[in-house]
Amino acid sequence: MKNLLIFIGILLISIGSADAQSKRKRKKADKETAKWNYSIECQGEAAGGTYTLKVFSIVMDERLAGVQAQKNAVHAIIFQGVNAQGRKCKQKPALARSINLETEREDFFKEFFASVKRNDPNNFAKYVNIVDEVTDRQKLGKKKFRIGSLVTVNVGLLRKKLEKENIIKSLSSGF
Amino acid sequence: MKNQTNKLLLIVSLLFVSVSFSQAKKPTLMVVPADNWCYNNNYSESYDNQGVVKDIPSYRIALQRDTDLDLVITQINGMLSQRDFDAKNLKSQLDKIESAAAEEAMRSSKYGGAEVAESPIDALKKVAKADIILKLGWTVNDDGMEKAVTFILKAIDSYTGKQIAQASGTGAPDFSSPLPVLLEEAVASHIDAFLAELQTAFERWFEKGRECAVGIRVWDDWEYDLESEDFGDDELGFLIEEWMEDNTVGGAFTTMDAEATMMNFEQVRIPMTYEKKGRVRGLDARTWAKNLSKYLSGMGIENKLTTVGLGEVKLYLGSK
Repeated sequence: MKNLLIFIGILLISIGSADAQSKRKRKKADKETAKWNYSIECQGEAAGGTYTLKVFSIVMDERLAGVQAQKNAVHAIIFQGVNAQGRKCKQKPALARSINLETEREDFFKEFFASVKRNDPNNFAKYVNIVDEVTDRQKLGKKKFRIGSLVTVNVGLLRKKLEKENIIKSLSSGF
Repeated sequence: MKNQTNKLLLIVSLLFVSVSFSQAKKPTLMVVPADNWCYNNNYSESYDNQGVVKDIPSYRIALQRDTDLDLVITQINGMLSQRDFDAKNLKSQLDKIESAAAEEAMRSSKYGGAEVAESPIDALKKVAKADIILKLGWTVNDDGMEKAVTFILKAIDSYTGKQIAQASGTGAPDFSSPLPVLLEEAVASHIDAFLAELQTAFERWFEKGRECAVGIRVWDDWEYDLESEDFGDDELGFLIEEWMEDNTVGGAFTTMDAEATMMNFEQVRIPMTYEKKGRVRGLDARTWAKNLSKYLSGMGIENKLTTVGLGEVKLYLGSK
């Protein structure tokens, strides 16, 4: 009986510690996200409105590079657009039609880019897939890395989602 | 409880009604091949315009002979449909013209008027009444080893003739993919930027008003003209300009021609919506010009209002 109680105690402590660790990791990821320190290269596009992008993210923790690359890719599609890349890609305009959209709808985007589970419909992760988490790695400083990742973003679906949430206007809005 | 449910239902229906009617008229789109693409591929036909024979693009021949054209048009129509715009199908419109060929094509006064020759392109524009024509064309650059497609897509506002969106460029060279695949890639890579430009044009319409053209004509048998001062404190032409000033968005319009028997106004910015019986409705040039027609009728000037689609109106003064 005593052994059982000790076992349950150890189990609860380890679960609590794992949860706290996961929370810390999430907090760290969100902190990294807020910096939006990245550059994007278009690698190709498919007929269904899916872009393949190479994202170079500047991160403090290498382990966060994958999730950060996905967020950066979605962020670029919404707010920055993608530059033409030779004959591989044409210029892609940003989905946002207002330069102040990010601050105007801060609450929505805070939740949208929050590091929560993938199956949450309000999460950025639904619209992006990671193909190769680390394609390039460059150490910039003691705790600073430039990590290249290959991702695909379903821009058609992302646009529909933002239109549905009234974040951006659809082509037919007003008609 | 029942009363509350009824109230709730009433509020919901009112909201639905207000949403359904607070919409501007959606412009219609149609994709056609560009003129020079038709000529380069010999998809043209001779047309006798009152004794002058000239070559004009033949969309029917192009559709019959070029399967790639049908493919590209279908793909663009599909992408427009995904963005809630159902484009008119070129082939269906051409079929419509054939079935309506027997219909009277002239537009004249009830008491007379000259018959006007109509080219097949004019007939198509008349039947399709597309507000925006998307003109597409491509060339295949083949160096013997690799093929690359140069693609061009333009959106033309039918009534002003202005280009409101464009996308063009050359795709990546490829030595194995067949032409239809290269074309599909070309459309896919250009369409987002193209539709973004189109959306900018639509947003401009909502902000600054929809651009349309207005023509004023005077029937020969009318005893007055646009220089007559019998209708107010100024010449009729100036009175019309004053009305335009008061009834356009920000008083924006340009008087292109002002003569005794005709006036032409371009870049006339009309609002996208108007309110009637408490409802906001879509406004087109015809509904807007109806007010000018009423204004002139109020001065005792009998007039006839004719329209071309949503964006061009002509008022004939003197009789119906």
